[in-house]
Amino acid sequence: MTDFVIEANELRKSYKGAPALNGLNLRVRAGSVYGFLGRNGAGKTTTIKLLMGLLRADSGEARVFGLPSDGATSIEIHRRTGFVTEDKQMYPYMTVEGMIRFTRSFFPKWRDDLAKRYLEMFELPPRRKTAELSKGMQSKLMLLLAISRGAELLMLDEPSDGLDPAAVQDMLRELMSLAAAEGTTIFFSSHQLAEVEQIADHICIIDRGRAVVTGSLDDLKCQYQRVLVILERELSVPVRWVEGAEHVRQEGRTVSILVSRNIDALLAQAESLPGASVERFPVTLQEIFLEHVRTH
Amino acid sequence: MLWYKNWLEIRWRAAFSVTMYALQLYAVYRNAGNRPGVVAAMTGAFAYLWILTALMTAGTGIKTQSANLSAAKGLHGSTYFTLSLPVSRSDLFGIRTIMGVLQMAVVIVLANCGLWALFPALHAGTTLGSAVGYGLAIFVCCLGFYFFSALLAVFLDPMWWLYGGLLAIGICWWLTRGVESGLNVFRALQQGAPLITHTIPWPAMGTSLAISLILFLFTLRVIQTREF
Repeated sequence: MTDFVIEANELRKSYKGAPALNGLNLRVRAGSVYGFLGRNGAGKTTTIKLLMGLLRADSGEARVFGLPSDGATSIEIHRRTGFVTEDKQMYPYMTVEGMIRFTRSFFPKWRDDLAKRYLEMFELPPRRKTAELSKGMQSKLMLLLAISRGAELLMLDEPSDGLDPAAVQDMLRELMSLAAAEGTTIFFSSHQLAEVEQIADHICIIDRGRAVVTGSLDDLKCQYQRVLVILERELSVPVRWVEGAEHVRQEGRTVSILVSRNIDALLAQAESLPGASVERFPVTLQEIFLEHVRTH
Repeated sequence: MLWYKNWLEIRWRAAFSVTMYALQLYAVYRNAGNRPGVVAAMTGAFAYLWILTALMTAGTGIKTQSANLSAAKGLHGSTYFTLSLPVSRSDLFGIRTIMGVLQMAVVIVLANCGLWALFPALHAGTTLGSAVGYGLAIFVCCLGFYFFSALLAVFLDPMWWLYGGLLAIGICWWLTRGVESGLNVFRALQQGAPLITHTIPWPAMGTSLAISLILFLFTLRVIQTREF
């Protein structure tokens, strides 16, 4: 039995010849809160749809709970997964309570207590049709329907889309408590780096269909550092920095280096430059993200 | 609950179909009254309505759940929500088909009861058996149109599905207008109808059933494999 709830190996998918996924590898451990980051069109939604068996990969393999995500086993995956779609669209002719009753009928582990709690917390009007809900309300209802399934895995595609800041905080708090109390694995895509940083313990940054950074958020923050070198005078010849200098930017006498390993060797190298003043800084997730998606 | 969902989706179409028949009944009643030629007038006037009912009833597939959305925006409506439920695509299509076919049957029965009640002239020119046979023949012959429409609804957005379906069926109707064969489904709905011939058009019904089966299996296969 594998420890990974989600596994993707060399996943490839293209739409009319345009590659969306280009050999994606992914491992998500049971019980983790996994942030899936990427720019628009990076392949996040395609990955989630493949994992849910809504699309078929051109090549490679995706497994959820150890089951192949396409084919007949996708029904078992759906039974054990709470899913928030990118569109957040439900049946426009059903009321909020109708949607809850409808969804409840498919999930034997449905949690009435959670449904009731979120209905009150999100202030959703039970008798209103979903077509009459604001985008934020639709997102909240979708989240309620996903969480109340009593699922082992929550697969959330941009769950905070359309939510106001207060609702985002409520959502993040609830997700964290769900992961902590129930051991639910949460896999969510987002553009909002601050919210990912707030709750994720692992992340994957995807760019042009490939995972460019993966790992524990704490480890990544320790691993990545920024070194700022202020030189006495501008260098006439560019420095060949030691391995581990991921991205180097030089503006006049200032050199900014994002370092992913060999930090001590790089510091020594920087300090050996004539008249150099060297400082190191911790980096934010945003810096790691931007450095990787800008240049890859 | 899938039954309930399907009912919510098709109920207005059912109401629309019944209203159309009521209006058509009234129009035929005003024009042909209870004269002996009413049977021919009626079968001619109603034939296209049966086909339209079959087309409309079937056109509520997975794809049409994005009806109120612009495809250009890349939105898919509730399609992905439905597909993420722990239900196979075969079951989704199967339940939809049963509900649609049942709705079509109910509309046909109601319309035929209306015919029988409103036009006493029918009683003189035909038998109750022929009237029941007429209803049965309409139902079976319309199944082919139903499944054709169900197939189109998998690929086309709602507007194009209806226009495309009407255009395609219109062309077939026009091309087969002179064909006297018993296999001609269109003929079985008009001059070959049991109300006029007093015989059940078994060959045409067989043709429709065969077409229906092929289209059903093909559509099922498409739904199982297609990416929405």
